[in-house]
Amino acid sequence: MIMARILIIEDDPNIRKLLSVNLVARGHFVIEAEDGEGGLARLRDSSPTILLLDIRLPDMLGWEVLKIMTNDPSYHPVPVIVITASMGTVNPDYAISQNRYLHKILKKPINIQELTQEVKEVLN
Amino acid sequence: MIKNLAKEYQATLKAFLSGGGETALGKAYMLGRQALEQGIGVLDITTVHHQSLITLLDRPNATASNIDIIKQASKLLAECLSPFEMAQRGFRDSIAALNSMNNMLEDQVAKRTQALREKEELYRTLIEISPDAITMTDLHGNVVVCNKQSAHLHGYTSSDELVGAFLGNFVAPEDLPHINEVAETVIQEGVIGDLEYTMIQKNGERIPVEVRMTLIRDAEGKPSGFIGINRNIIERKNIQRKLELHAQKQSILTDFGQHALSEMDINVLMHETVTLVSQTLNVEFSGLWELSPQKDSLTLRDGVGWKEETVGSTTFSLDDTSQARFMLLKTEPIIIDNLPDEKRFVPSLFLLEHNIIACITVIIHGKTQPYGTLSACTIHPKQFTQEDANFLQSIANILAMAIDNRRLLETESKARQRAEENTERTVRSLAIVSHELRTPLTSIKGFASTLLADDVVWEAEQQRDFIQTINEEANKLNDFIEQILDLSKMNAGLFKFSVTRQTVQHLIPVNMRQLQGLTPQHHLAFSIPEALPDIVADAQRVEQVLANLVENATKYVPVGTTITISAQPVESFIEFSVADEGPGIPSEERERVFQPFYRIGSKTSNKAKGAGLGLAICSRLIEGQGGRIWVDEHPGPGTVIKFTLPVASNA
Repeated sequence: MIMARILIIEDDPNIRKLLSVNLVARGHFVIEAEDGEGGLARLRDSSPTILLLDIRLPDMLGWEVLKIMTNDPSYHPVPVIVITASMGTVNPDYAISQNRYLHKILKKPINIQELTQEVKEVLN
Repeated sequence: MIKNLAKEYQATLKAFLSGGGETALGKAYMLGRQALEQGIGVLDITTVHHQSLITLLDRPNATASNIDIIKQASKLLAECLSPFEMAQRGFRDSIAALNSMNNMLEDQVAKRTQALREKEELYRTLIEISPDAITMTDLHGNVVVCNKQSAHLHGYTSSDELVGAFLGNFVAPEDLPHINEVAETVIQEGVIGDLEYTMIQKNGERIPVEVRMTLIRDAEGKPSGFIGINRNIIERKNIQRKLELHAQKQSILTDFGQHALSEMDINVLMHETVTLVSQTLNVEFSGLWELSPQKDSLTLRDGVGWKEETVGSTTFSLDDTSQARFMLLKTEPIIIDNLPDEKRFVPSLFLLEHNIIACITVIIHGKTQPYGTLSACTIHPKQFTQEDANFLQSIANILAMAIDNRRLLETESKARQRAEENTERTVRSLAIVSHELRTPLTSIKGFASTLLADDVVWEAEQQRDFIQTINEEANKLNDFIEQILDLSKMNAGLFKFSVTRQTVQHLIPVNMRQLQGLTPQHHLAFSIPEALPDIVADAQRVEQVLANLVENATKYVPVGTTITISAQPVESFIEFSVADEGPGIPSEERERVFQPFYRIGSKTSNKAKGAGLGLAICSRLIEGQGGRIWVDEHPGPGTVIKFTLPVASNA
């Protein structure tokens, strides 16, 4: 089993905890952030290998975090799994086709099995 | 034989008549004798003689002197015959017969002369009583004879004055070539020529006439002049012109009607209307007066000819005697011939200042009420006709329809916009509701499946933590659903209040503990004066509102600051306020914070917490109890939300 350093950017503390305990229990190392700004800082200083990204963040949208990570050369881009409760008008296939780091979009409420499976896939 | 003899006798007699003298007569005598010898009776000779005479007399150039000669001839004949035939019976009879014949001839001639005279009289009468002007000219166009009508038509009092005049002087120069051309055709082809031209009368006045021209010939059949029959056709021309104008107006109305359908800008259409009115009715001024929404004045909305800067700003009050009021009260068009002398109302000073003399006004009838009036005015004395009035009214009707249409369109487009906004809000609301439902559900479902996972063994403490989280999130979910249901009930008017008399001093302390529980990290201050009047309210709902406002404050203001709750009487209400020391609400958002799902700053980010239902519910709760709630405008930082509740009556 491959271990990963996973950065979770999610504002809801209980969801953050949910993701965290499950990933830790499966042997991964977890870094947490509760907003976009903090998430970007951790992305730079904690060298994660995977990013779990919520969309409705208090200070910005997750899409902005994704954009900054992709376009700003000072960031080291990593594969991203978006976890969101509100897709709005975004077409998941289109969004994935537009960014090569966006690996998967999971809709809340998420299936924990599916999440751990996706993480595994990304690592392979 | 007899025939020959008679012929010879006739010739001889003719010779005598044309001056053959006695010889001829002698020859006639001889012939007479011959005839007698051959057995032809005297009577027969006289018969031949008579026949010859009649033949002579029948010639058109028979004159009185000829008749005398014939008489003489007859007498001579009688004398010649007398020596031989005197004795013969019947000779006298023959003479008598001859005389009677002569008498008869004389009579005939007299009758014919009389008939000629009568005929001439008849022609003269016919010419004189003809309603048309009859003029006879020579080939050059100089008047030879004319009737009175002709004299009058050319501008003279009697025919004598016109005789000798050259008719070409009475033809408008531009028509001369044509009239000459027609005259030429009449001469060449002997046809009747008809044409219309402009006659210039003696005094220089121009009138339209028509003429029928025909050629006259002398005894030898050579063209000798013209007879012209003229008629004044000004009436016909006027009617024709009227019909043309009428048709023209109809066509203008049709065009305008069509244009009014397509022109979307009502201001442009109004300006086109006043321009059209002034042009078509040929007046210097036209105006469109709009009735104010309060129906107490008319304003000059647009117009042509008025002094600069008066259009759009000149207003007329609808006083009892005012012209404006008079116009508006009449349903039919009003025609004014002499404004300064008008007695039906007090003439508008504005119109008098523009020296208006005559005007015509119609009402622009909107679907439900008059939109205003439309006028055409002139500084010249002018008699507006009923047709002018009808025209103006038609223009006004078209304009009214266009205005009504535009208003309907505006109303409809506003309604559509509102509906679109509603839809957009609903969609946005649904997205928020969906998000707010999914977030706790994610934790609930997630932790449940986490507990059930068979690849991980959880410690007891962890299991307890997960279950507690599930419980917490389930409560959140429940609260949210309750809020949504409350709001739906309030929107549907199904929310029940149990309103009773309450003492403010009692109401606030009861809530104090709960409120303090909500603000562990903030100071809570109260400023409630003693002896406030009682209010009428639902205590539980007031508590809910206060709790919500205080909780909201704690979400946005820094830890350690003070949240102040105060109350004071204002008129027949008690005004409560919850003030904090936070960042405040931008003034442009103060109205909207009471809309469901509205969250401050939510446009740019998700900084706001919760679903944005709290203030929406508060607003409905307060309004349901007869009060109102608002974000107070105040200098300095912090947010002050105020609400009122009605004071109980003393009864």
